[in-house]
Amino acid sequence: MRSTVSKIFFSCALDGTAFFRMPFSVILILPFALSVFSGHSYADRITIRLVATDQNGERQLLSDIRNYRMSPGGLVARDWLGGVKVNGTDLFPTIPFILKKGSEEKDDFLSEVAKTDPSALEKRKRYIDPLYEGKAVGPEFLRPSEVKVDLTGKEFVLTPGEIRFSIQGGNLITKDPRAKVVDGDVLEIECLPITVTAVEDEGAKHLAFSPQIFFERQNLLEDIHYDQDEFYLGTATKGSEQSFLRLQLDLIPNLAGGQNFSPYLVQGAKLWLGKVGIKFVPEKASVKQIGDTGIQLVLKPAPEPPQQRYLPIVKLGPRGYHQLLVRTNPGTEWYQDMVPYPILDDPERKLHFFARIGYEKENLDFHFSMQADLNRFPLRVCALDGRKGDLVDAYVFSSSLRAPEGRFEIRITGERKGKDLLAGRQQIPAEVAHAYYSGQRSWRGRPIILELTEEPGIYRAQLPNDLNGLVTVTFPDFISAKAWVEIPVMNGTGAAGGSISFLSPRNRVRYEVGELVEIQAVVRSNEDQDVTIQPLLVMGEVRIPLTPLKMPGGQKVATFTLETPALAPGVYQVLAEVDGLVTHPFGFQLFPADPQTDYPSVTMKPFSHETPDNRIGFIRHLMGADPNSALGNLMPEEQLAMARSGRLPSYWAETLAEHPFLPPPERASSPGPLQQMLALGISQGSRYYWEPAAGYVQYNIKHTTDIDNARMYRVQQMYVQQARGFASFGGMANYWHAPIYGYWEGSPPVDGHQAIRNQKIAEEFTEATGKSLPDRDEIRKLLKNELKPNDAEELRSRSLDWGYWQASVLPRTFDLWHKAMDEIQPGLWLLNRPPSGWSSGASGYPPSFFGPLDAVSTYNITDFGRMPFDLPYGTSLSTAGVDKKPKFVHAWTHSRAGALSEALLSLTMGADGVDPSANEFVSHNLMGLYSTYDRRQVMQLFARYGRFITRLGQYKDIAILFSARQAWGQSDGNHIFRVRSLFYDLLRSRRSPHIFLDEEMKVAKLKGYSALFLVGMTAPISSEAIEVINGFRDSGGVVLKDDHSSQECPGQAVALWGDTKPGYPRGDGEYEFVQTWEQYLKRQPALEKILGRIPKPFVQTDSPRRLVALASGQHVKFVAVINDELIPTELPGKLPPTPRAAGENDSQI
Amino acid sequence: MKTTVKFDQPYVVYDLQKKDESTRADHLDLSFNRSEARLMALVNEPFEKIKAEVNTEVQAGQILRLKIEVIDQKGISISDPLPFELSLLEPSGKEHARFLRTLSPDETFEFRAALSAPVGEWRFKIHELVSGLEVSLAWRLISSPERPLFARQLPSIMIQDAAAIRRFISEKSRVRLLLEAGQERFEPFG
Repeated sequence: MRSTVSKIFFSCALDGTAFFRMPFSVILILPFALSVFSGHSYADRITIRLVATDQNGERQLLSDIRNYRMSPGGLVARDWLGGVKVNGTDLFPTIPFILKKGSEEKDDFLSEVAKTDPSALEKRKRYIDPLYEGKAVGPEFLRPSEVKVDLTGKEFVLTPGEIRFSIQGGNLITKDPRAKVVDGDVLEIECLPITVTAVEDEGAKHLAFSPQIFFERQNLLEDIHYDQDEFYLGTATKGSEQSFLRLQLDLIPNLAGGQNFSPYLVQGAKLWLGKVGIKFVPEKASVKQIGDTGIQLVLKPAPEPPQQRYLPIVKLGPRGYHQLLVRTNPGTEWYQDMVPYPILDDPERKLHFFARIGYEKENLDFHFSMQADLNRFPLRVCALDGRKGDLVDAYVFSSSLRAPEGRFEIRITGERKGKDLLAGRQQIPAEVAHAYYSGQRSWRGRPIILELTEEPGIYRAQLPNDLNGLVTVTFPDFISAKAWVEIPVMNGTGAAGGSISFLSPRNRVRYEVGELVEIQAVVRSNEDQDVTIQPLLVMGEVRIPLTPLKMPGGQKVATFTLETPALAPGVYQVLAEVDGLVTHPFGFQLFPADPQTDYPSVTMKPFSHETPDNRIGFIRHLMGADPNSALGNLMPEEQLAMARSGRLPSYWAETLAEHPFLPPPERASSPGPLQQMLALGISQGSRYYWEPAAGYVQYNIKHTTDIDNARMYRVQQMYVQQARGFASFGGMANYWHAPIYGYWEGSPPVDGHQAIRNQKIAEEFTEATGKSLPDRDEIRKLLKNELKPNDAEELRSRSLDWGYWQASVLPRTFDLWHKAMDEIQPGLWLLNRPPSGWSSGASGYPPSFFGPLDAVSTYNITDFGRMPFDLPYGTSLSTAGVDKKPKFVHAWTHSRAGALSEALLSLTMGADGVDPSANEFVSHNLMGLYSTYDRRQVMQLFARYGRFITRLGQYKDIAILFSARQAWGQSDGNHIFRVRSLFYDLLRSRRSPHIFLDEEMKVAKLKGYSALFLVGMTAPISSEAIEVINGFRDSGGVVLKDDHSSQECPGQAVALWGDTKPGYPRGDGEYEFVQTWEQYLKRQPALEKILGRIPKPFVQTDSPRRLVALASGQHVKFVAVINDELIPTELPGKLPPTPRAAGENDSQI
Repeated sequence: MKTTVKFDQPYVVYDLQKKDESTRADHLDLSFNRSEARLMALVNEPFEKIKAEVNTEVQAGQILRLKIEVIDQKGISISDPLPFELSLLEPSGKEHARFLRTLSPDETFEFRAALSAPVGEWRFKIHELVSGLEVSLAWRLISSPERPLFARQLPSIMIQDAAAIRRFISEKSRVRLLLEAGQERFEPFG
């Protein structure tokens, strides 16, 4: 943890009488060190420690016994007072972490941008990185309860409590019994707790409240912060604004030795607190003392504001004109104002209203306001055929039913008071099934008869004995022959004595089979009642009783874990049977731990976005393989979110619509877009690698300084924490662009800290070199020849150092990140830096970049590359020497032809998995359309054969040595470009080239290859390598070197290049393809002649336009003949006319 | 678009895009029909049969193990991994699950039968995806004599653990993850 040191002056008050300025030094132990100028006089350093006695009688730091948990009624917390001062100066000042969006920043680069594009500047100002400058990712509540202070003076008063102490001759002294001196320099003060709760006006129902606890004018809760969950980016809520169900607050006693010190003010009433309890002087009836240390507020409940409720209306019957009928519990009058259209003459239905939806099939979300506690009552949403008036669908989301005396009673409370849709019917035929919301689409009805009781709205039925727990009742003839209504029935008694809710401790509702599911049971009942509840696990017709939970009086939250290895994937509910208590069912979902295919369907998401709109794009991207199964893996609120987007592909909307029920989404605390994206990704990929979302925007990885690295470390850690519970979470996929300042293309150059970064870079450069950073004024003068020769030389020298230093930053950063990744969770790297093709491939050597990684990836943007050669080349290069590490490749080629051919070639070049998902959007270019359908086809093909191809193994044909010892750099003729060009040429010649590194030059490794090519070998080759090469030749291998290699280089010289320039084709887009092709055609005759001397592979084709991808096992060989016709080769970027045979159809895989 | 593909010797060629189609040839005239690629598997002899073994009886909640071997016409066991489609059929005939797996004869496919799975005679339908050979295998799922206890009660979870977080933040050397119940597999990183 990096410490931040800042220097400040405090204004202080002494004894509340005279103000003066006094030098004052405070050093917090953690997490910040805050030192203040020590003034002219000597300061004594002491420690002040606030403690409390725990239940074992041991003293503990207050920060260690702080505890927050969420209960259904609100937050239950133990914390301690803020606002502790010595001589009027804050002892524990809060330091804000989070910078605000929109802050101004002075930056040279920005100024340049502003000159040309002021609007761009404005846009870029939005992103202010909140994780910068050593600030923790952790929430702000990291308030220490122990502090070291440098004090100047002799006499001191600590408030609240007015505890006096002195420092005399370096000795810390206090006579106050509330404090004691430990180890000579520690002032330890024992705090005592008060408990504050609130009840409804003269009732027993507890309410959440915002307490007002002051000392003098200081709100003691001001400094307390609570963050909802573990680390995340957000703003904490101040304790003074927080609503608590119960707050236990440790205070410094202000009652000691019979003396009353200045009182605390709790809700305006004076409070003294001592070992004997509290002395409380309420002046109003709205607050009273409970027991020795309790304070209870008696509040009139404020009318609850209407809550927004979202009706998940995703299907409105068959395509056509529909009307929507919404029925709620009492209190629907408001609705008349909104949709004042009585629909039918039927008097039963006049009470209800409809919304006109129209002929087009639409996905709607429908908002209306209702009282919060109406959640407990049934709510029905019916869709009616607007022409016939027939009810075509009806959904019930909740109900309250009861079953005394061994018989089931069904209480229908969904209508207005006194109204009952079933009224007047003595016997109601109905069907019972074991599912209310099961995610299953098959329903097994059993006929029953409901008998009306004397009480309106109550029906009684004798249900089969084994129908305990959650069942569903349907009414086939309820309104029309098509209508059905479903009501959940529980066999708890449903009395109003309380309830049990099940919660997910971290709002986590998705697990893989085999994981432990964490569930909290929260009891709402009489405080003192011991409770034993019997949880039941329900999935469809399956009911599994779980271990009973014993919850003794006072403990109202029980946490249990659920073992899942023997459970089937699907949606589960947990509910409970207990006398007097009815549960709200808790739903969670188990994903299959075994992926459908063993092909590592790795999904990478470069250019991640987190906006809702793009999320749909992301889903599409993921669902290419099987949208139906994907849909089944969504939780209801996700289905809802998808439905509400209105942007679903039609087949999804229809599949969605078949789900009979969607629960009220407000019950679930929906994860944010990031988590949803991750969850969806995890649900699809056997291993999902997560790139920090919006990686191209606010998390674009800056890496230049140590601060950047530390920050990136924390960012990664934060992401990993959110996902680490998933077995299929592969780790981070860092998409690293690596220019020196961390800028790249469209990424905003500003994260709010560029000025800091510039300064740090200058400092680090100076520290490393002892020289100052060349500034642009100097360089401008140099360019204008305005510098004296000596100064110019000195500047050139510094500039050179600056270049060397920059070059050293990247490997260092990379190394740091490797270590960080290993520590956090090994993951995947998406690199466009060396050695993959698109950007400069000349500045990296695979072992130094990929060696330490657990997985490697070649990220290729082949929309402007030499498709399909870059991806196999990058694969062969980046997977060389990494042995058994997983190797994934991502193709970003737009066309299906490109994606497929690259994938096939890459799999036979050593890739374990290819993500051929290309761009997330349906896109096309001159190579053709690459649609969701195409993606799905490609994915299905690899789901079947991808692993098979990989596991057969590379076909050993021709090896090319790629040596770190040879000439690198940007020159076309250098080793690296010759290797690359030869690789392309061999692919064109239907050969199967493989890159060999220096480290791989072993006799055993080369065994089986027909030939070894040495190209651009101008530097000496090691004697060990020569020995291996000779061994290879002696065992029958052909060793060839190009005419650019030295005489000392072993091998038979061949004229590979003619008058062509091996290297990097210039130009963009199709011109690059064309140049590659044209260069090949020039070299082809000589190359074919050379290759004629090398044993041919087991398959040959008749044209360099047909590439081959080859794999070979012991008994089985694999060959893919790739139709290169679909890859453009001719000017000016247009497809050559493709001859079609009679009867040929469009492309098929 | 057409092309002629020549092999170094006659092979039995399985066309992976045309189900169950094979030919013996030393060359092929391929028509791409505008498709991007033609995928083939080459073998010396045609595949003749599948030998598969599975536990005959499995208790709900326990693991079923499947081994598959493909034999060619000369009686040679194919040692290379081959792609299979494995369908699990419930006693009612409904497909319970389907897996795509690449397996060699010495590898085992494992499947844990869920406690909630219907007892009775199940079937494994095995489809070898190179040659199209199929075989069906019966096994019996019996109910578990006693259901294991699922739930384990824990002490109340603290949503926040300030002390632990503070230690976490203040760690001077390596920053570590806080592990919770259920995350034991990350212990090396914790």
